[in-house]
Amino acid sequence: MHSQNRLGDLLGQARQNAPFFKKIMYAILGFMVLLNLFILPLHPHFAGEWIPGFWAVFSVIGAVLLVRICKGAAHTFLGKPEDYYDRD
Amino acid sequence: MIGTDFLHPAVWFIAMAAILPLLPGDRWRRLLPVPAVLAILSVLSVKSGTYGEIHYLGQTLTLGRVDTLATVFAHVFAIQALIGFIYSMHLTDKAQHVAASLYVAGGFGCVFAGDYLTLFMFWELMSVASTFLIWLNRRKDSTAAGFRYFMFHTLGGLFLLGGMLIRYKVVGTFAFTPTGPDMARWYDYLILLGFCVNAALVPLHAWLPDAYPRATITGAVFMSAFTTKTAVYVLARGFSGFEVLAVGGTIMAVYGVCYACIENNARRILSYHIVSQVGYMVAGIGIATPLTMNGACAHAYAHIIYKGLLFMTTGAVLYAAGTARLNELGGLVRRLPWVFVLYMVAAVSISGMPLFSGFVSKTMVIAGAAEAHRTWLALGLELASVGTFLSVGLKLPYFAFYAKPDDMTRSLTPVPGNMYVAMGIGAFLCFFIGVYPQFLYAMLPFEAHYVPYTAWHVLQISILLGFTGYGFYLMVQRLKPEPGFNMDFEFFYIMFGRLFLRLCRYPFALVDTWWSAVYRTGGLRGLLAWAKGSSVFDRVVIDGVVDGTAGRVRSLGHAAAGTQTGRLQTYITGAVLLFLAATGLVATLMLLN
Repeated sequence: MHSQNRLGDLLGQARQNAPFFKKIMYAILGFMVLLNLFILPLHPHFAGEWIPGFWAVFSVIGAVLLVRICKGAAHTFLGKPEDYYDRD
Repeated sequence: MIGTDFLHPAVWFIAMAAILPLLPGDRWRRLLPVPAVLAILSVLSVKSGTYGEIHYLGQTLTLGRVDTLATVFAHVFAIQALIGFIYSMHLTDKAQHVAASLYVAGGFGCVFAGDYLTLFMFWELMSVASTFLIWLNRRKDSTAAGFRYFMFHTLGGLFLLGGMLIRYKVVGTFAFTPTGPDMARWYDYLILLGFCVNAALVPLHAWLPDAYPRATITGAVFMSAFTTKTAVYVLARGFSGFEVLAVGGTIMAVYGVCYACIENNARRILSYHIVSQVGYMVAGIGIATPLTMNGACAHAYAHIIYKGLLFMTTGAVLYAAGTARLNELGGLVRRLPWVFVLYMVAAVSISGMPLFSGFVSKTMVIAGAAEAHRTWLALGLELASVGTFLSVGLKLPYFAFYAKPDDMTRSLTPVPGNMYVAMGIGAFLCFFIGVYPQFLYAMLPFEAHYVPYTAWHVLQISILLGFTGYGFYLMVQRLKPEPGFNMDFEFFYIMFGRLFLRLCRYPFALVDTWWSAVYRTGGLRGLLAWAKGSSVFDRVVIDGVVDGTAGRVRSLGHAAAGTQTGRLQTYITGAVLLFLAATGLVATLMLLN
């Protein structure tokens, strides 16, 4: 239980340090795009892979679109209360 | 039924299912992992070959076709069975253990089956046993979901049965051998359809997110491993190269993550991720280069371990907190920190983060798809990777463990130690396969060279995951889980059922009532009139004829009797008259001649 509490405190405190982690994350993201300038695929699978930052743009747009489209569908016609099929 | 050199792993589990109900007390729980350990030994010691041929129903059944393809699946089945039974060691409900044992036995039986008949028998064993893993959750919605699950799998089983019987009529054998897409006939497609039901190919997939979240906590851990992966195995064995699988698999991969983004129940999110991850495997089998085939097998292996871990950790949350609904969870990280850490190991594995198992298997399928110039399919699978990390790597843990202020007051049931042990083994394997992929690659059945750890691969996936994280940060308010669920194709299953019920209840019942009325008024009266007519006919005509004949015979008899006076002179007179008449007749005839 002791390790449970210590680990719990450690993970719980991560909240307070959120601004710090945010800066670290931005730094890592920037660093990776910088690396992307030098490390490129030897045999690109997709046309855009030559362009540094292609996958960064792909991921952000992909994530935003997935959420927008799916949440939109859920809010308009897919989302139902849990007992939906039990009613007549 | 066992060959000399091969102890079929299913035997251990069937034996446990038979013995378990007879054991008293509850110390038998320590024995639960034993069959799985024996199964691991069986799989490790077996050499490729054919074992255990028996004659039944006038056929030769091959229970043990062992080759590299079967072995890689059997290997991970045995490991996951061990993890699953350790995870469920705290349970005193014997019925659940018996159902799980028979289910696992069915999985092994399918993997080693050399012919369709054997395959079908174990296929159905899995279907029945897994239904009990849902029912034994003993809730009203579990009962209903179990029935839907069972009916849909029975339908799938019937496709398989119909296909294989017709195939037998035409081809003359039940042998389970590969079918090329060019040579496939319609009965082969019927078999394929049966397999696709279990592989949860969209739109035949809705049974999965419908049933798995309603199964028992431990049952879902088993089910996440065996049903769909057995289907992946039989597809890899029999139907590689089918275009419908290449496209269908990619659709599955994207479709699953779309729903995972919007669902609220954690176990339902994970169920959609089974659809998505199995999509990678199905696509790999459809593209069918040696690299994608190996990728499908490797991904099945890695997937069984990390998906089991995901279901175990969310199961632990459900066990402790009593709910798996994300809107009712949150702020639990201080209370269940190890569950959170173990969950994250599985989450980064499924997302394909370097150093974890998904990275060495998933990228194989994607690279194979791209190298086979299936650019759109590869791009779809990359998009699914984005959605995977978004929903199961970020959304689920964020809303379950953080999101709200620390929840120090909610009463939590303590998570048993055996659950932690099982989760620990799963997490270790996720990491081990990730850093030592040769362990997995050495088992793969096809010849293909692939190096996962190149600078570009690592950078590409890191960028992908990192910027997905940024996308999550932008969208986190929109991703907030809401109570309820999202309709899927189960809507059509349920509507079809209701339509059929209405058809029985209204039109059929209406016709029935109407027909009864017609019968009562027209039919019954007609029948009565007819009966009356028959009776009159009988009395007047039949009896008339019969009675008439009798009457004549009687009056003739009377007349004949009248001639019998009993006086001798009358008889002599009669005889003389008769003699004269005869003589006269003869004389006349002679004269005429």
